[in-house]
Order: sequence, then C-alpha cells, then structure tokens
Amino acid sequence: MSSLSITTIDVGWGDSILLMWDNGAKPKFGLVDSNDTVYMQSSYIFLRRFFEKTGVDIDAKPVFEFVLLSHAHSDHGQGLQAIMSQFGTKHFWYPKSAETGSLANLIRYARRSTNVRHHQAIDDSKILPGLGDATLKVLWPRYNQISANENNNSVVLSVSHDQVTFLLTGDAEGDVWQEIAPQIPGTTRVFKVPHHGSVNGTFVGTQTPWLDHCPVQADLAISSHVRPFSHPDQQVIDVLTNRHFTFFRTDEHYHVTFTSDGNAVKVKYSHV
Amino acid sequence: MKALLVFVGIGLSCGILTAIVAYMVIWIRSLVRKRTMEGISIPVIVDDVKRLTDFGFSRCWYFTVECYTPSPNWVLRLRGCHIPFLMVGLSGIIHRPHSGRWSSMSPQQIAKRIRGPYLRKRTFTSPEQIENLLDAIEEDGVLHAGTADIWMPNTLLEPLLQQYGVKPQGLTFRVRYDLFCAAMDFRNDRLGRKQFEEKASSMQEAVTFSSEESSAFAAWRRMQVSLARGQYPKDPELALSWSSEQGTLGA
Repeated sequence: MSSLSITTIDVGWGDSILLMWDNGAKPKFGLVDSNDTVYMQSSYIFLRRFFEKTGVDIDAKPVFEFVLLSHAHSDHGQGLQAIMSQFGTKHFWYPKSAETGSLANLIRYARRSTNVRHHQAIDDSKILPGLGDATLKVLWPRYNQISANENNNSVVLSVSHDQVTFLLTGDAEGDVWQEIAPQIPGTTRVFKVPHHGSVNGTFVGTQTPWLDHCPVQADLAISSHVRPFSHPDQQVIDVLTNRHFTFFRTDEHYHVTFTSDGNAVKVKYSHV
Repeated sequence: MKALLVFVGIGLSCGILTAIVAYMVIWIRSLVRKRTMEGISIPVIVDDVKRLTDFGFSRCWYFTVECYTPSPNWVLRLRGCHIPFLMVGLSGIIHRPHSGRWSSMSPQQIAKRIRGPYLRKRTFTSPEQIENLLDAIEEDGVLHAGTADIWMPNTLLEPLLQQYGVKPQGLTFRVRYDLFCAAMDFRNDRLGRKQFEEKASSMQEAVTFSSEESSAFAAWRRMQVSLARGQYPKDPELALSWSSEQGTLGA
C-alpha cells in the first residue's frame, strides 16, 4: 500500500509544493515552484530538513523525479535553480511562455547542467510519467496556446492516487477555469486555490467557475501572498466560507501536508 | 625655552596640516564614492504589472551572481591591498557587461582596457554579450548566474510606458543605485511600503527606459529557447510522449 502527500510549504509569499509518494521502500519526490531568494531560502531549508528527517540521501542525485515551474513568474521560479543544483532532478518541466527572462535563465541552466537530466515544455498533449503509482495529467495549458497573461499559462496538474485526486493550479485565473472547470475530477480531495486566493483566480464577474465544479468535500490549500498584495482576498475567503469549504492557508497554518492513502486524505499543519 | 616653543609650534602646524589633508582625502574619497554610486544603474526587466486598486506596482527581475558553496583562492581588493580569502557565500548584482577576459591579456593590455572604452561600456547591446558574461561567471562552476526581483511603483514606470506605448512585460529599465537599494529593502522586508512609496515619489529621474537593452534581453531570451530546441531531447529516454501527433519543445 502506498501513500501520496503534498505539502504546501510556507514560503512567506508565493508557491512551493512538495509531492512525496511512498510505498515504504523508496519514496519518490516532485516539486512545484519555489520563491527562494539568497536572503530567504524557505523552500530550500524546508526541503533540506525534510530530506534529512526522512533519511533521503541527498547526494544520490537526482533526488526529484520532476521539478515543475507552474508558470514563468518570479514568485514561482526563483530559487528553482539553486534547488535543482543542490538536489538534482530527472525532469524539469515548464509551460510555454510569451515573454519572461527568468524562465529563459532556468532553461539555460537546465540545458547546461548535469543536475537536470531532461527538460521540456509541457501542455495538455503531453503524457507525463507517474510518481510511483500516482498518475499525473496536465489539464492546462492547451497545446500550442500561449496567453499574453502569464498567469493563464499556468500548468494545471491533476495528481491521482487511486480514489483521491489532488489538483495543483498555479496562478490560473477565472478565464481558464471557465474552460476547464468541468474537467475537475469528481475524485478531487485537495484543490489548491488558484493565484494565492486572489479575486481574479476565483471570480469571473459574479461567477465562480472552479468553485461550482469542485467537490465540497475537497480540502482547499491556499499558498498565501499576503505581502505585498494581500492575497488571499477577503472576498474569496468569504465565498469559500459561505460554501462550507474547509481551507488551509500558509500564512496561518504554515506548512500544510495533505496525505492520501488512496481513499481518504489526512491533513497536518504546523500552526493555527 | 624659545626653541621648545618653536618646536611645539611646528609640531602643531604639522598636525593641523596633516589633519586637514586627511580630512580632504576622506572628503574627496567620499565624493568620488558618492559620484560612483550615483553613476551606477541596474537594468531591471518587467515581469508582471499589478494594477490593483490598492497595489500599483510592477515586479521586475534582474541578473544576480551567487555562490552557494565555499571555495578558496579569492582575493579581496580593498584600498590598494590584496587580501586572500575563503568564499563562503556571495550575492551580487550584474549591472553592466564585463570588460573582456583579463586572464589572457598582458599587463599592458589590461592597463589599456582600464583606461579604454571597455570599463565605460555601461549597457548591454547584444544577446551574445549577455551570454558571454553569464558564461564567464559560471566558467569555474563556483559562481552561478541567477535572477531576483524587486517591485517598482507603477507611478515611476507608467509615464515611460505610456511614452513608448508598448506591452510592458519584457521591457528593460535602468534604475539608479539609490532607488534600487530602496526597492531591495522593500522586497526584503527592511523598508515598509509607505516609506518606499514616499522615497520613490521624488525619484522619477532615477528610472529610464533602455530601448537598446530591451532588444538585447529579448533577443537573449529567444536565444535560450532556440538553444534548448537545438538540444532537445537532452535525454531521449526521458522525452515525453504525447497523446496526439502534437507536441514540440518551446517556451
């Protein structure tokens, strides 16, 4: 029997999500995003201590099966180079992007470094390898579509572990959800609230596309971005509360870990 | 007695003269330092523009040079002294092209370069020049070229954006050293938002649009995509299959 856990790491602002699949023999790891800087290495320090605690040999590179940059914004990609450099990864995936140099620099690193065995742009036409017996599927972006709004190039990744699905959403905004909300699996038990809980991540006018399709028994994870622009927005918090969703936010609960046994999900967090 | 007084007088005069000279040296040094600092500007590239009702800032990225692991054989050049030291970490900002590869030059050539146009070369003009600089930084595998970000008030950027009437993402601006430092302090929680906005409000002239560098950095980004496409698949065994006859590398 295996377990799959995802941890939304409290990085102060921005996203960083660790995935761990474990069958009791050799765990497998994936990472989505990081917002580390030289001064604040929140993801790196968390990962380092986590690997030490779980007895992972970090010298046996690559530690990660994959590292995914959800979209080419600095608050999601900063720090990935240092993390890939320290831990190594089999795959580095990223979406196609209209215009950002921070991604170009990561691609440059991936092209030249032996710490990244392979790198590739992904979209919904790509078939991703599994993480253990968990399956990965890209719901967004569509093949060969590049939005001028970088948030809407975010990779929306579905991670299924038997009867449980985790949905990782990057910063995809309401327009994206109008298109793909019907694809949200009925087995979704953990859903990352898009774009740090901003209004445009949840609302399109008065409509709430993803909320209308997300099973109410799903736990919601919010990677907060309180500074500098006050995400999650109170309007989003209100609508989640009114719809009786249970949500966890990194600015209040700090690191939040959701663990699936294939049927149900347990939640563990650092602080209330 | 008279001789003693003369001696003391001369001594005092010399002391005062020495103090004046020392003070002047310090003053000139600080003036030169201030002028040098004022002359420094950092190229920042627009990443994302937020036009929220209560938050009008643009996130901009810039190149950094970083060192994560200790390494020996570094020399600190300080006030004419060369001090050997062990590097245990470094974070710096790249703000202008390098001045050529001194290791392969004679002392005469280096001297010529110091006096010549290379050190006055202040802006990036081509993708190759950027790539060469990054290559030089990473050549020994000790230093890494990375990126970091700051937030700039839209009130400073927008007049320039309107002037050029183009999509802001990817444009390069030169930000003067003092404004850049304030923006870094804001980014790293050392300066509050109000304080930063107040400080920045009087510094409109500290930001200039850099057309030539906008083109150079855009070309450098295209160069990276092109080089990655040329390399694909880096590891054929790990290349992803696709669900239809679609799918190519791109960024």
